[in-house]
Amino acid sequence: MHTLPLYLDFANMLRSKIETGIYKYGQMLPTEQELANIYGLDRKTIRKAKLLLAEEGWIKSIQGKGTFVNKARLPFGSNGINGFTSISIKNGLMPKSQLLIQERRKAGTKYAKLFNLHKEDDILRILRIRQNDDLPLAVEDTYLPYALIPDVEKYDFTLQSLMHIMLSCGIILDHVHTVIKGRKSSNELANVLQIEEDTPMFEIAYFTYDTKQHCVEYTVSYSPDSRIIFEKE
Amino acid sequence: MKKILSGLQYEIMEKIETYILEHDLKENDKLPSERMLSELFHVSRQTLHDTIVKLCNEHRLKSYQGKGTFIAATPFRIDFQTYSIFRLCAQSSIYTYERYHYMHEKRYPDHDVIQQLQINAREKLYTTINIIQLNHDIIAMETNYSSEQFNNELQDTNLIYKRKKFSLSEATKEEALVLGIAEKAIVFVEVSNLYRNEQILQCTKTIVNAAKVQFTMDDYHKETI
Repeated sequence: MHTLPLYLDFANMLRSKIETGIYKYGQMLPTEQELANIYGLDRKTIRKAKLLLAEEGWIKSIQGKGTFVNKARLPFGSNGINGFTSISIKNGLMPKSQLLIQERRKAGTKYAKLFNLHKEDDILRILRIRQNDDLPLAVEDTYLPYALIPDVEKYDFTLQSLMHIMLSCGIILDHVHTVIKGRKSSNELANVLQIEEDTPMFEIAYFTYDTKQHCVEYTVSYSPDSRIIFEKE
Repeated sequence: MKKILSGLQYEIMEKIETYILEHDLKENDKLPSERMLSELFHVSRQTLHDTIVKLCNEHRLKSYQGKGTFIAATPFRIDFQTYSIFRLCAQSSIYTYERYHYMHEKRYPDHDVIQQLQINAREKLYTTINIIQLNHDIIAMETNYSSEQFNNELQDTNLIYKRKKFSLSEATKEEALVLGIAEKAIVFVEVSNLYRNEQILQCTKTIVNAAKVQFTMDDYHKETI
């Protein structure tokens, strides 16, 4: 029987607590002293385990604030329609986002085809970084027909869930078609998401349809593999 | 802050996409030369070249030295949620499915497998590697680990497969060789276990070429929001 070094044993335990959702994305871990007291270990062991988990991307220390869980659980399966908002709520946190672009533009060939519009019709593009504090989780690029939501400019997309806005406008959603791709992260996305360039990144496209089977929203979400745990509900 | 998903390169990317749509270019169709496209879009050759490289990284185009740039093959789309493991998802897809034996040996398990089977890392396991093809194209490598010699073709209604992990990774040397891709190319990694009466019989690690496969799912809206 071989025994693991104490710090590895402790790291495994912490890791499985994150994996199973006991410690959730964005949650602050107890301090080193607190962990040392709880588990009866010395602080050196705790620190070594935390360094390992930080290296593996499970946690992140933020100067002057503490250590936070840096992986989110992304449930898949027949769980209804999932926007980022509901994913965050499942992870136990209020979602936050930073608005990079909100613009009205022409549909062009691509989006005219997708939304069943004319090339000259307007669409709305919203580009957001989904994050909690200094923990960027995803970059989300959203497109929808401009005429879909009356007075669309009055909404604050950093606070309100697009899905809830659509529901309040009487749009009845039917289903979301999701396409999951794997690719290397580009330099610009790597920068924003605070990861290395060329490391594995999920590109997940969500096509949301209303009950008339019209596509009412298209979002592409870019998220590093290291920040996501895919799990079956 | 640096511009992301916007700016000149992003616009060129959209223009290339629009060009492809409007000219109805399909798999293996050739794109005009970089020189022609840069003149058409009024951008420098360098900017255009960088954009093409980017689209190649996203597996949408493919470039061959001296031959030009082509539309990449349409990826296989496999339903992600019908079944719990990749092999069954692929089997139930619309494509021709083949799975054949590649090799068998005793070897040391990797981190994922040790974690699932909860075993001593210094123990060699019975290891079987299978290759999965769709439409006669190699798309995945399936490695089965078990501590006892075990026939995984066994028909037994008490056997249950469960997907335990789904993530992305860079292909190792062996994986790259088997899949015929570059080392460190992006692959999906699925770890699943085979259970009989809640006891793990086998752990399967499936490496899927991300350039050739995409996963899809459809979530229907529930009334309760």
